[in-house]
Amino acid sequence: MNLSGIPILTLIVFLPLVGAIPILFFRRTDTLLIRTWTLLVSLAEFVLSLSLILGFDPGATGPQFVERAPWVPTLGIQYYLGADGISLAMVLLTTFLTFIAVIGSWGAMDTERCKEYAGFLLLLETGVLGSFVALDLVLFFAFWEAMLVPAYLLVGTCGGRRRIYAAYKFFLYTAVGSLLMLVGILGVYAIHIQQGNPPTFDLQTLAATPIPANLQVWAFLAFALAFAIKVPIWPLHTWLPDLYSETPLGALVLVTMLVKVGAYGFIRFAIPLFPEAAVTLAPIIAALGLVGILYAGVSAFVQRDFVMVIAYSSIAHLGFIVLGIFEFNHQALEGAVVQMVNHGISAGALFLIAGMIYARTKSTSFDALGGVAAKWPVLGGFGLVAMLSSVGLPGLNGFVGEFLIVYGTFIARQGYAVVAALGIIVAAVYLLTMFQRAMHGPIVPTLSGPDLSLREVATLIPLVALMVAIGLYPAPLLNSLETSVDQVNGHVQTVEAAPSAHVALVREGR
Amino acid sequence: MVNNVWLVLLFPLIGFVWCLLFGRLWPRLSGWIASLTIGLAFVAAVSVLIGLLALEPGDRIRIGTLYTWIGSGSVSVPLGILVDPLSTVMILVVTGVSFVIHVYATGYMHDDPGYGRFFCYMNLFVLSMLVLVLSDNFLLLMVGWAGVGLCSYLLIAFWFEKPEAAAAGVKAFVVNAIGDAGLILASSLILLTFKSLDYVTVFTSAKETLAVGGGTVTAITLLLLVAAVAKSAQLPLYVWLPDAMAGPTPVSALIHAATMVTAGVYLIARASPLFTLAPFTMGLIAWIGAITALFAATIGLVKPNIKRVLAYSTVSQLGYMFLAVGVGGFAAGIFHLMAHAFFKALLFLAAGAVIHALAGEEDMRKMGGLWKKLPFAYWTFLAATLAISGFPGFSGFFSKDEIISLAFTSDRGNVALGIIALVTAGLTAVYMFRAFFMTFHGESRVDEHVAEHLHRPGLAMVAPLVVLGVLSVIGGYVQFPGGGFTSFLTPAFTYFGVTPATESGLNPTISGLSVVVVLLGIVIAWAIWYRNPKTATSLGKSFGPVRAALLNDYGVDALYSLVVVGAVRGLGNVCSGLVDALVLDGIVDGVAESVRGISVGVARLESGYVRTYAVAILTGAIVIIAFMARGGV
Repeated sequence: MNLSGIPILTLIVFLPLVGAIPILFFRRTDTLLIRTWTLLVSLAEFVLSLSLILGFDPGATGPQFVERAPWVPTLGIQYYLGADGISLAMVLLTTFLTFIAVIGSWGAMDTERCKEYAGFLLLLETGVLGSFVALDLVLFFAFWEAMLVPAYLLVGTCGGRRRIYAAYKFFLYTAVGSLLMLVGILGVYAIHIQQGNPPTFDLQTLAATPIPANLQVWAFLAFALAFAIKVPIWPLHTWLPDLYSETPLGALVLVTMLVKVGAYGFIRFAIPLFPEAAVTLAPIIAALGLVGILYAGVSAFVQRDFVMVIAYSSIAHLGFIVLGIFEFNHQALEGAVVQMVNHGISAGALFLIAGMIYARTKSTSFDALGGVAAKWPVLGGFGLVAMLSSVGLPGLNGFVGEFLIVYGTFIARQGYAVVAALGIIVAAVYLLTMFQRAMHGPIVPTLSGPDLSLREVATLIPLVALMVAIGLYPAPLLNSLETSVDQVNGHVQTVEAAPSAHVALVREGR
Repeated sequence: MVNNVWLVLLFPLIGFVWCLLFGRLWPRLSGWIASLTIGLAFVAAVSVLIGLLALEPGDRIRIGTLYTWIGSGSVSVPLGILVDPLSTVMILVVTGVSFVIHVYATGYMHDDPGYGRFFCYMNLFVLSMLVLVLSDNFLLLMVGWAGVGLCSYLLIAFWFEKPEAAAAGVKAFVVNAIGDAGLILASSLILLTFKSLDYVTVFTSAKETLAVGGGTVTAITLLLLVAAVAKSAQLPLYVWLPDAMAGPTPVSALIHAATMVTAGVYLIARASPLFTLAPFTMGLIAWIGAITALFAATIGLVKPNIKRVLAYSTVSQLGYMFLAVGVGGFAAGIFHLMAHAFFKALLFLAAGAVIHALAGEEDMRKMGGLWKKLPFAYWTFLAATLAISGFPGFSGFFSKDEIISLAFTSDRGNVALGIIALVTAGLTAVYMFRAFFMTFHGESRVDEHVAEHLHRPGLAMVAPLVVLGVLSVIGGYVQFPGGGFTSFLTPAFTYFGVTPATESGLNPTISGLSVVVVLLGIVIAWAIWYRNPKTATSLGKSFGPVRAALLNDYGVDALYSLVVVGAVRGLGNVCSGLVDALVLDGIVDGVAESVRGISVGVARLESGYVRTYAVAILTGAIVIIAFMARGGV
């Protein structure tokens, strides 16, 4: 269903890429021009993506806004884009966060690295957006790689002191993941052809291909490892704190979308392609999610730096998301997607606030902070709301997702739900301790400068508005996910129904 | 008239938003607007009561829904409220007492630079509590539940530049988060069992769905109990409340009297159709209540800080309320909740007047002889002390007497519970009169400099004292004639098939006993702390170890910080310091090293720059795709 024949998804995916080209020709010293241009591109992109809401039909099954063209016909590779409710939520979140990231980076971009910063940010946006709407495995892989490269480069050129180590580590992890995924893709493709089918990398066709159970597990693992590294699922998480602590804080608002692509990969690819393997391994993966929640939670508690706490808390939040994805019921999965949106909003806001603190103090270490909320009450107030959103305070956005995940987990595995609830307590411990260390206490003498500027307030207000809106009236988000969530789980439920159907047949046979 | 209940929520919301936007700009005006909105909410609550009274007793239940809040698949939770006698009593107490405290705070906080912020939090606090008591389902309850937890955090840590205030705030929030987790799990189990979270559906079908004493209902009620224990500061989760004294005194009054801590008692009363199906949980509640009441009362005997004594007295009185609902006396528990709201608010506000006069001094060892200088504080504190001690004729007498009687005589009660309740009543009289005598009588131990500049309370602080003083004296008479309060409240329980245990008239033996015990307690306090204060010192010496144990809360608090905080920190260091840094990163770095080793021969790749590698993988990917595109398969 195109918007009157306009290839809207293509426009959305490639607008940032096209917008990045003129930046090549801007003078390096003319940072104001570069920044203004980037801001305009990201704003145009966000507005353009909003048009998807108009054309979206929440009740329709299957992908919408479909664009399909042969790319390499001999191999069955297509240029195939489409979006369901889950993709739509992720696309809007990405374009929104990019726009926020650009405003949030306004001061930090004013360096000789401005060109790289702006260019890689826009390239990253294209890569992330493409990953969320690609429905052909090769196309997805291409976007996946196109997303990682600007991410390395952004950190490697514009990052902090240990940026080389961080980017290198990130690269190693993801290179392994990408290779495995490539093997997985080719494996599925080969199986599909072996069964006498015409060659294709079409996700829906391949998902309908019956794959023998033993092969499924291996192919699933190949995909799952790539996604698990990206999410990251414990114990594959150690790249994340390093990367986050070296990434420029404004850009980090968008970089957090990388982990959502990992979670999205499970939902869109790994589970529909290999439902039986997913069901078999679900208890283990969900358990690893739980380990991540608690492990990252206690780790966050002992960190000595604001950014590091949020980095570890991201791992914990993603643990909840993984838990929700692998319970295979409506509420858990819907909660997981809601929580993906929430994580973008609340972690994004917290990173922005970290950036605002950094801009004033040149440090986010607790050793250098204290009394921030007393010195800068407006900054403290926004920090408070963002922190509470991350805690999952009922009435704000985090609670909606968290409750649905816990309830969905409770339906499937009650013991897991109890542990997850423990994770909620741990989150309160480390987030409030973080707030206490940075924001409360006596004002440290080194704090100087004014409270938030109008620009900074304008950056945070949309995020806070979303926290309250999703917390009190999540219906628009939830409604747009209803059908899509059922469709994802539909792949699994046919599997889960099968054994009992088998038993019934046996009984009838007797 | 019943529809005015929306106004009860709307007014504090307006006050909150106003203070949020303009509190910094016009602090003084915002304080008055904040107070006014709570006053208007009280008026609206009164009109709800009038509307409810016009209905037949069996028909006094109304539900209002705004919209579907969380709808996901088969789960649908509305933003809905429930008006019945129980929620009406609660909104009256909450708005009424909060209004008085707000007015008082306009005087008490007069010189504070955070004046606007203070009233912003205060109004949000009242709003959250109103959402808590008005919700018609367990999930919206959680919004109010966590909201009051949040506001207590914000207000306890109000002077957050003081490290101990900031720490006390975190402690309150974290302990409450334990309760929130219990509530989330309870809600999940309820939703799974009943396919619904709204009270009416769950409570009306409880008897058919759940077996008495069965595993499910016991699990649900135990999880709810975790939440109630955390919020109402009962053993073993009471530790946050005494530290909460770090906040401004009006906050303590609000937390202890009108909002927050009573929520646990309310929850048990509200969910009585579930609790009555779980005899084990009910017994546990009664015992937790009785033991907490006694435990906290003994600690109250030794604490030197006046606000801390009051804090432990709250823990102890909440224990009474738990005991009441635990033995099935749901109406009796709510009755004591209301009486307690009056006299505890008054105790804090009167103590606040003293602290205000003494420029922030809270240590009773530096008070004494203030009765002449602060007459309003003196007389109102006395009235509240008589009320909390259960002196005949005062509000606490009626409400506490009913609980002691029920502890002895109700089907779920027994002699042991009754005796604990009786002993605690005596101890209450002792520690409260100790505080009274130490503060107002004897020789002045006030710092001379402070004594010269005694701040006398203004009208904004005196008027609330008088109003609460009157209520503390006469509040108990709502039961007359013929148990009026109980008979108003009872339909809220009978509607769902629960018959609260009630005391038909005063039991002469038990009443007589409790009067004797209370008088004895007053006499003991008089003998030790009034007649000859040296007795106190020598007693303290001869009971040295006991006194030390009491001063340290029997070591409970220290145990927590050692075990819980130590465990989390230790685990955290192991995880991020050891496993991440050495084991996991060791593997990664090892792989990295071997990659480097392999690439020694390949000079171009050895540059070590990520850029090179990144370009390499991009090229690699393109080559692979191009290769496939050429039909290489």
